[in-house]
Amino acid sequence: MKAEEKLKIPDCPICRGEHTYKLKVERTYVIERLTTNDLTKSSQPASFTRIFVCPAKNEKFQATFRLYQTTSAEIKSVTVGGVTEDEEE
Amino acid sequence: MKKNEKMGNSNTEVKLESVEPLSPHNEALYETGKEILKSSISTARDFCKFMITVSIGAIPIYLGLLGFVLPENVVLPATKLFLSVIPPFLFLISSIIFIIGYFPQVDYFSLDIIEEIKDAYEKTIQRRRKFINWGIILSLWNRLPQCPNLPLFH
Repeated sequence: MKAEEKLKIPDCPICRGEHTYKLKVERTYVIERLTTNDLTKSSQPASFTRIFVCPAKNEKFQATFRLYQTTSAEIKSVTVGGVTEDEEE
Repeated sequence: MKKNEKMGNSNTEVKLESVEPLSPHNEALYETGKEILKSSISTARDFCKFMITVSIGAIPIYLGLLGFVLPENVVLPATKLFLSVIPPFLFLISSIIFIIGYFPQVDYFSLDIIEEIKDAYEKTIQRRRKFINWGIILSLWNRLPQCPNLPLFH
């Protein structure tokens, strides 16, 4: 199941501007029986490094970000879907 | 350069850890990935082309060697004659499979729609891989009549 999330980069290393990118996050959902342990279980962070393109100068840079996953909703893939529509305008 | 920022609600939380210019290593990896992506279609097509030549060329070589190895005035029994013509026949079939794999794939997509390009790319790669696998299986299967358990000239 793919969900779209947003990542704001406040200080672009190329143009020093602010950009917001769309991230396509694919998660695999596992249907499991809910136990009392699950209620206290916290989500685990997962780090991802992706290549982004500065919309102002059309140059590439890398950013590392953290997403959270649980055992019932594991992150399968994260892809960069370009800048948000507000940014394109 | 380290920046931290939280966006969205608790379920869809993205936390920025670091932003930096592309490292030389990652840049090289990016270029490699780009090269693999761009060349994978032409590489598979070139391989099909090469295998067409190999498979077709193997037929006269096999028949020539068979004529060279067989003693003069020898008439093979029907079963052995049948076994001896299996390899060139399989080489012919594998060359036909490689020819089909070499054919350009007809597909319509718009350059504006990334998903369509991705689908066409994946379809082409999978189609060609299927033909390459079958062609290679048939070419390797040619070794079967030559294996020691199936003596041709006893």
